[in-house]
Amino acid sequence: MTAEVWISAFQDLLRFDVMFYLFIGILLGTVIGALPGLSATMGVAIITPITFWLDKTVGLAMIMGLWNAAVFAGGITAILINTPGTPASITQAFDGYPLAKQGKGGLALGINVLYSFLGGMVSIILLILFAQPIAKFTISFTSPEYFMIALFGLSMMVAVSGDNILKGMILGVFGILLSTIGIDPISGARRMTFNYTNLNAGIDFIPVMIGLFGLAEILHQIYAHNQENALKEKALRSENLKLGRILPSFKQMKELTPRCLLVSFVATIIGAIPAAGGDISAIICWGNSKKFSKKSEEYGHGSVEGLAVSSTANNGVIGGAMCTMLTLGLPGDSVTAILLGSLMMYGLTPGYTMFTENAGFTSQIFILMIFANIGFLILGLATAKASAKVLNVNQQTVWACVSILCIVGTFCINNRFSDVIIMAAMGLLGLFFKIYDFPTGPLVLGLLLGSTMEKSMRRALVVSHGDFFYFFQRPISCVLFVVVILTLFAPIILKIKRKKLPLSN
Amino acid sequence: MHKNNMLPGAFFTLLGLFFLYIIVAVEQMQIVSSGADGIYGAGFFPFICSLLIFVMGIGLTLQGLKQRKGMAFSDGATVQADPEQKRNVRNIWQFLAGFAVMLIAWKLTRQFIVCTFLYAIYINYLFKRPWKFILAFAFIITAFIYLMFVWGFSVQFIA
Repeated sequence: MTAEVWISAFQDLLRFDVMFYLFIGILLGTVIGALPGLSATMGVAIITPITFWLDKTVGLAMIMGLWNAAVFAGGITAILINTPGTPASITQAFDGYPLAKQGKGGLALGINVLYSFLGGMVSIILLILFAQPIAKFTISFTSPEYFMIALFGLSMMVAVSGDNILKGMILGVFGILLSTIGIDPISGARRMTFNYTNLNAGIDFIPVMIGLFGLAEILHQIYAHNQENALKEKALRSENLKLGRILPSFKQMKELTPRCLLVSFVATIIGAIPAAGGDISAIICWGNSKKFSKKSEEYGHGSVEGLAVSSTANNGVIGGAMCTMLTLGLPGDSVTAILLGSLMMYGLTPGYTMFTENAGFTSQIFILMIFANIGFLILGLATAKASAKVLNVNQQTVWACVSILCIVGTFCINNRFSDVIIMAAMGLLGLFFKIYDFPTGPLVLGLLLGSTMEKSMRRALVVSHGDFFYFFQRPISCVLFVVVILTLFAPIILKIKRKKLPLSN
Repeated sequence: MHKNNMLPGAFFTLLGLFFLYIIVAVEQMQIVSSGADGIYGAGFFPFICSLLIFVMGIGLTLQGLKQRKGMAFSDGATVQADPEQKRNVRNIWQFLAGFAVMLIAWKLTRQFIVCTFLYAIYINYLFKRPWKFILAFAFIITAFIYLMFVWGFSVQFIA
């Protein structure tokens, strides 16, 4: 991408409507991230169909603003009431809440904003530097490699899906099966459409996302609602916590920044791994920072360093996740999974073409991410104390709002009632999956990558005249296959070995 | 929280079987390649996926059976529902009933704004909010949807 492309993209973004919708996105993201029960994924899933009615750049500005702000804002409730607003904010509660109880809530909020900004900016810079070279590497990829990449992404998602890998695998394959519904791209035959014309184009990705991450989440919160905990939270919210000063001192910033810069690098790499999102990054970075800290005894009891590391780690994944999504077409986390679907709906294909034919749009994405970070830094610092008021919103109000917005957002995609039915069905299935501890990530990824996997596999088999060994004759494809096997079966083998150890003792 | 895997295992076993039946018997999709060209049929991938779901569903069901018999295979346990849990389940059913009625009414009457207004009232009533709040909420959210989507984006909510 040349300097002219960057300058042109920058000039295109300096429009009132782009800045206005970016600001709206940041505001929405701050509210969504701060409200327990709403996540960045849910917010992006619901807002995405609405952005299709706007100009492409304007819509993207809103999504970027929402995403970046929601991740940082999840720390607000983690700090003030020990309830992470988003899964990535779990570790912020470990040190943020004790700090708030010590009367340093303002300082904790300020550290959250500053170091989320640092993590986000470093990861975006790394994204800009490394995305194009990685994408260039994929020029040599053909059908076997694309099939294996998709399989690798799915295997990673399954491997991090908790204790029961079998559940992750079932949902991953189920997602792939759902992606085959519709007209076969190679032979043109109708598959499992049950004579509904609306299913000829297949199952749209966005209604599934809204159903799984929006409606299912609401239903699960109703199902798991605990009146006692809700009253305790309400008492905490109404408690008059003295927030104190917001900004850390220069000496504190000087001590924290080098460590957080290192954490940003690590978080970006973790974010680049498919399925490893902010929560995994925050836990890994917080745990390792504690191991190597001179003040490790303070971690978990109000450590400023611990909070800064957590804040950096959860925003630091953003650049890495985008890098994998833009270059390989593999979502780094659930939000980039939605963005991948959005790009496909705009007619864009991840890979090297994003940096050649669509270089202008790609550079706009990068610049918007930078603007979004600057935006939430300013808004976050200016409204740190006021943002705590968001916590006063009643959970039942959130449930009612989200359930209505799920219907509205889903219908807005294609103006089809059948999409709303699919969303409702996925909402019910999502509730079932949550009750029985099924991870929904593999299903989403299977649905997204299923068609790529099938097309690549069948094309490769045409080239090789039906010879499956063709996949192992190409070095990259073969290596990826070995990684897939290790990713899927190593945790199972380790688990069996661990179970045998007490028996042998 | 229910963690016994029998029910989900049975669900996926039946789901896999259902799709296998559709692919093989109902739609009679071509699965394997008919010649040396290597072009597999439209049914190949769905068949593999359905078969995998069926087999893994059986595996999950067996896992659930072992859990039930108390063997050291998984750490699941079924929790007896307490009064709060029962209330929550009732709330879910009532919520879903309201959701379904709203969608059906929208489909039949094509009046999305009216249906949304009534749905907003019902949901807040279900969660025992004060009447002033219920009416204010219903008006505000309906007005927001009308102004932003119907008037702003010209979305015609015709089901």
